[in-house]
Amino acid sequence: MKFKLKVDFRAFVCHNFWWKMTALVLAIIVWYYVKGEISTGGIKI
Amino acid sequence: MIQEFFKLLLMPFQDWRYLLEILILWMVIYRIFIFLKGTKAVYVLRGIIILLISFVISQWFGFYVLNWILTKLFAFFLILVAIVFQPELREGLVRLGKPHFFPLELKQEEIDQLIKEIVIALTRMAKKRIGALIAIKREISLNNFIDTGISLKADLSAELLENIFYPSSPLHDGGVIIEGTTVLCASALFPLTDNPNIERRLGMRHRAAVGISEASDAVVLIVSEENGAVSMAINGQLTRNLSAEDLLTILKGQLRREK
Repeated sequence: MKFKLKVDFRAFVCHNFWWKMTALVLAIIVWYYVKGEISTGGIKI
Repeated sequence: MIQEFFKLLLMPFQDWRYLLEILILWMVIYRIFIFLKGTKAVYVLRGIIILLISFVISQWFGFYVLNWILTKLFAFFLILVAIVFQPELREGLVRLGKPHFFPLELKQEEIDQLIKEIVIALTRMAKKRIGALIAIKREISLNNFIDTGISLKADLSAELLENIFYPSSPLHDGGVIIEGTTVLCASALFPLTDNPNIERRLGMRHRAAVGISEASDAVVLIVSEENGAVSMAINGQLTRNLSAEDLLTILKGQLRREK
């Protein structure tokens, strides 16, 4: 059972790996940008 | 300077909500990527990502002229995307609100019968190398394609399917559309995919199968005239060389009734 879980997790991570990484990088960039804009008053909430 | 950089870098770890925000953003962006993967929109997506990264870099380093140009270009690009990819966007919104289960009021026995008849017909046609193209309607309407074919509205049977695709039959060209246990039409024209990842040696039948599976949520089955191989297209993805057992398993999974 343990072995199966390990294999499934690996498959989950490896499946569309580069799409996942690009999405993560983009998410971080967007978050930092919006957060920075909010702190400097560029975006008013 | 370095201290400030690290302070900025560690900012998301100061509050669990920041990390959650990034996680949610990550999931949303990833879903958009997967939705666009394999379509021509992916090239536009690359352009948007490059523009976005250039925009953020120019903002951080204070390249104000570049930043102004990129801002205008980005707004123009978004409008262009909305116009060019209007059908894909509409389809995406339709899919977003649709559950993924067999929608018809069919009993489990009827679904089993439907699958059995289709598998029998495909196996026999594959043996005889008779080309076939069958789309099984699920949630999204196929009315546009039904109108291009010859209306049948006949009870589904393996014999009927074989008869339709028999090479000298007047209805053998084009595709068959099935809804529930009814063959709605034959000789229907399906749109050809322009997905560049589809092998060039695959014929029009396979391209049409992938095309209609991109335009709807239909399960599309193909028998190759050349080698009798059975393939299946779902959501623009083509699975080739399926055995009768594979077909049975996949169809049971795809056409299952909601519990």
